[in-house]
Amino acid sequence: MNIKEYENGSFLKPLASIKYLFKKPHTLRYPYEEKPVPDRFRGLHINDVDKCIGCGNCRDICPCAAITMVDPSDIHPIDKNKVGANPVRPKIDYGRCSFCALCVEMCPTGSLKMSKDLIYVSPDADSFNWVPLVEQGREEGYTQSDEITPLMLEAEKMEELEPDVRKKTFEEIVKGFTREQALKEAMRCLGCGICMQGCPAHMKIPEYIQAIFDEDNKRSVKYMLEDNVLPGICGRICTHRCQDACVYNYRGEPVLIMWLKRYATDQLESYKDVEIEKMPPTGKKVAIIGGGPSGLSCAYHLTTMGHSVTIFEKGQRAGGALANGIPMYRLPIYELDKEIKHIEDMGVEIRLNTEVGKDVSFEELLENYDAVYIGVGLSFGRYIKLKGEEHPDVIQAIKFLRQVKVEGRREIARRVIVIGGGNVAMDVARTVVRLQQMAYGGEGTMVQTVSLEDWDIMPASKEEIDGALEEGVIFNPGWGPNQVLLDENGKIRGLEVKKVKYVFDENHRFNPAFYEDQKKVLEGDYIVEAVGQMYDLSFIPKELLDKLEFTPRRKIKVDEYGETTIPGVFAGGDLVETSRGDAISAIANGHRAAIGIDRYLRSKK
Amino acid sequence: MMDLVDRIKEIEGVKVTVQRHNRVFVDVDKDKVIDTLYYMKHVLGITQLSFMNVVDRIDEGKFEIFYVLYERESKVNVIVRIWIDRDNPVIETADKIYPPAHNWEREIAEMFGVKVLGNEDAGKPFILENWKDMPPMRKDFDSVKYCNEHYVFRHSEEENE
Repeated sequence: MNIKEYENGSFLKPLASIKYLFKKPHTLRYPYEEKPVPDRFRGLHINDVDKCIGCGNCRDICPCAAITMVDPSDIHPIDKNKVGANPVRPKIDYGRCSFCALCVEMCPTGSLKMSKDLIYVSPDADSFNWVPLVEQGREEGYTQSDEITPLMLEAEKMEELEPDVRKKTFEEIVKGFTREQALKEAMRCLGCGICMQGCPAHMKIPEYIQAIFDEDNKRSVKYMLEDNVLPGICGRICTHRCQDACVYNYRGEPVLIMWLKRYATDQLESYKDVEIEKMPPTGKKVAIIGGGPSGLSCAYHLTTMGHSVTIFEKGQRAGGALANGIPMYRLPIYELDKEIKHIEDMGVEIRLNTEVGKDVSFEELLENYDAVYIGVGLSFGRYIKLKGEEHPDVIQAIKFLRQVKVEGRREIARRVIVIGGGNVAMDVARTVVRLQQMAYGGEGTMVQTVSLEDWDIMPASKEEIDGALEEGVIFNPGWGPNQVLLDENGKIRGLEVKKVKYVFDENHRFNPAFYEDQKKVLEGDYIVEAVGQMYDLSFIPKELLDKLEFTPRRKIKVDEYGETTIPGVFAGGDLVETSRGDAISAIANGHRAAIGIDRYLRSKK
Repeated sequence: MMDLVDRIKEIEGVKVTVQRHNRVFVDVDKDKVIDTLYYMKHVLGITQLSFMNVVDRIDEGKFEIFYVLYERESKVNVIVRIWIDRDNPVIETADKIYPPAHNWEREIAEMFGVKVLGNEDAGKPFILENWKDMPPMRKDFDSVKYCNEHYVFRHSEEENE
């Protein structure tokens, strides 16, 4: 090492320091000058209270327990009814805070930040304790970054059958998680429980994901069964609103809650080892009309409450739309059998092939049972009153799916047109693809859908649309059916469609209008209508039906516990307003009706 | 840089991993670390110890100790890494070779409870005041419990619900 040696110079040498007079000084004249702090300085917090959703992840991660969640209304008004948010915000105790910034890193919305300000002086120790706000006017310092983060923002990839393979078979498309994938995905969950607000059944999602992470699948299924009697089915076909509510949506991909649920239920061959609390028998009897998801849910929960329950199902198999409608490639039949077997093991009696109104009358049920639950669902296809609709080669979707799934229909035309843009239309189109592959090897075949809605407002879920596109289904969005065209032999040769002007009018009501001059012909030999379903309540005698009140949207009017305007008669499933047309909301309102029936039976002496 | 790596590889019993263009990991046996550091300084001419650090590998029951050296000419970080037993964490001091190690060792001793032989200051209070609990950077240190025991809870009760 060379050390510079200073030579002995003249006595004027100290004057050399004059040259520093006009240079930028290395020192600060505090307090006239502020000390500049680095950009990522970690000082007192800033929280954008309007952006914050009160999930409480900052409180849970805090290593000093410095954060509590409080209602900030008195200092900053917040929207308390916001869906996907809790009406609380973090309050930080700076006597404890260690300024580690883990709360900032963890914040799913990015609302919590740190400022460059670290100075706060007060003789009162209790005053070091406040709800951070933007209005406090601190300069922004440390913020989170998506590149370096303790959160795992990307979800696990679910393996699926390739389109070329899956379109030849009714085998289940989704392969399910492996153990490693499930543990990794379960590890991502922050446990804040915001997802529970999205789920109609309010399942205990953080608890069962934690149990999956602990590799205790029995405990996990126990938590699921408390609110949802068909967890394995919901693990396959649910509309997963929980995932839409997941806080990861703000920064990355949501936790794949649905596939985790499927993983846990798949690990158990049956649920008989799962501990389920059952109350002592009450001696009360309940009749349930319809063995669909809401009926099964209601029956199961009533049984655990100690009542004896009988389900009257007109078909050969309980499950309603799950058994008759949803194609096998989405929901294998053995999964349904497993869950229904569990419900039967719990003591629910299911009378198959028994139609209320034919084999047994509604009055008999009212007489012989203490309460009656109507869960018949929307089991008939809707017609669109199209010209030529009465032709035998025009069929309703629900009938078609039933023929394929239950009756084993395998014959199909070469060119099929599906009317509709919802999930049922996708089910039909993808089922037709499979049948055509089986019948003709896919040669010279064609499936096309036609829907009023354009791509942006198509009601089918994105996964279903993508799946159908990959399997070669042709879409005609934005066209409305006009008439069925027949050839000289009386066979269908196609469907005339006209261009849609708009689907929803200025009042956002469904009121489609068309350009009458823009028409085209879709060629096809067979037409399936998938434009919605309706219910049939003709089994109820007229004098009782008159007593039953309906809502303006033609659903049965019920109170919050599912009781109709006839005392002792409850309704649920797709018949009531709270339904969103999916299995989970039917399960949810079946559960709610079970609680209502229990209250009704216990209050009735 | 590769010259340097080749020369490090000549040391007996080391495992060299080039992690990036300017970062080399040198795994050595814990008994040989002082000899290796001596060699690094006086034979290879790596004169700077930037810092020392510890990672608590609680699942494996080990502490991972790093001596981060800096080679000025080729601008390479040479990181000498040893693993020691977590239940009986003892290392030998390196402050006779690299004097800055003296204070880094004091910090390690305080934060992780590592015993440093030959450094009489290690183990004396350094940054923490009146610390009587487990060394705070160990992963089994429950910071929330410590805070609740030592600090007043200043949020009101109904807020905490």
